[in-house]
Amino acid sequence: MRIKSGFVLRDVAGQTMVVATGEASKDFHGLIKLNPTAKDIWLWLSEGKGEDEIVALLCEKYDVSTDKAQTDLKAMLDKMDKAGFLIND
Amino acid sequence: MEFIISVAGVRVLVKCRFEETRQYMKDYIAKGDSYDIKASVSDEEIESMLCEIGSKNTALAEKTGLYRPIAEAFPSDYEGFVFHGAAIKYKDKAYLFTAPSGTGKSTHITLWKKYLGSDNVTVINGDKPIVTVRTGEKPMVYGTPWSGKEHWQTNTSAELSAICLLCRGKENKIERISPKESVDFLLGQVYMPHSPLSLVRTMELVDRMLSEVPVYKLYCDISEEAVKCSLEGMSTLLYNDERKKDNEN
Repeated sequence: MRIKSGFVLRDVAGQTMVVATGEASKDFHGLIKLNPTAKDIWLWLSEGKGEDEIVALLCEKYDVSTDKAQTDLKAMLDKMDKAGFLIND
Repeated sequence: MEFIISVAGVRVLVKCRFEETRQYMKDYIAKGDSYDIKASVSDEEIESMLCEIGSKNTALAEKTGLYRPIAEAFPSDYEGFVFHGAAIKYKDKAYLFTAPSGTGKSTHITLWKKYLGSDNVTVINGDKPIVTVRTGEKPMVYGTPWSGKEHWQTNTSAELSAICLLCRGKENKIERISPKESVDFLLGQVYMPHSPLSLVRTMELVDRMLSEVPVYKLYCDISEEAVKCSLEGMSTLLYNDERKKDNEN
C-alpha cells in the first residue's frame, strides 16, 4: 500500500498541511491538516514503509502499546483510503 | 490584440480578443516591449469556463482566465501569490481583510472610507490582490486589475501591516490569533497553483508571511465603532485622533 503521487506535505506556521498537485488534485481539492502522529505516519508511508514497521516505529517514538499503535494506524489508513489517497498494490 | 501590463513589478504580455479586456486592465498598461510572462486564454479554456460558471459572457471568461497564467507563475518565479481578500491602504500601510464571500468585507471597507475619509483610505484591491514575500523585503500587497464585481482597485502597493479575519458579531471586538490557528483558513484563500513547484513555493511563502505579519480576528457590526475597533486593534493609531485630522481637512 502506498500514497498516490502528487501530494505535497509542508509545515506552514507550525501546522502540517497536505495539498494535492497534478493528478491527485483532479480528485481532491481541499487541504488536509495533520497532527504530529499523522504527519509521521504519512511520511513513513511515503518512504515505502509497511504497516508492521510503522507500528513498531509508533511504539518506539510515542511509547505506546502495540495494540494502541495498530488501532491508531488502522484508523488513519481507513480515513486515507476512504478519501482515495491510497493505492493498494 | 496584445499589450504589456505591469503587475506587482512583473511585466506581462497580454494577448486577448476583446477591447473590454484591455479597458479592464487600462490602469496597468506599461510602455516598452519586454515582458516576463505571457498571458493568453485559448478558445477551449473559455468554453470550459463558461460551462463551469453557467454563463455566455465570453469577455468575462477571457478577463478572468487571463489571471491564471499569472497566478501560476508568481509563486515559483516572483515570490508572490494571489490572495482572495480585500486590501486597503491607510497611512502607507496595507491591511488585508479576508472572510468567506458574503460576510461583509466590502461593507467594512466602505465604513473605513466613510469615517476616515475616502481620500485617506485607498482600496488596493477588493477581491484578488497579489501578496509578495520577497527576500530582503517586507511582505507587500499589490493592486491588480482582477478585483471582483465592484472593480475596486488601485495600481499601488503598500507594506502588509496586518491580516484580519472578518466575522459578523453583535458587538465589536478584535483579538490577535496565532498563525497556527489561522493557517488552514488562510491557505484556503490562497490561489493553489497546479504546478507542483509553484504549489510548494506558495506554502513556503505563506509560512514566511505568517512569521512576519500579525493575524487578527475581528467580530464587527456595521457601526462607526467597528472601524474604531478594527483600526485600533491592528495599528498603534488612535481613532479619535484620526477622525479629528480627517475633519480638519
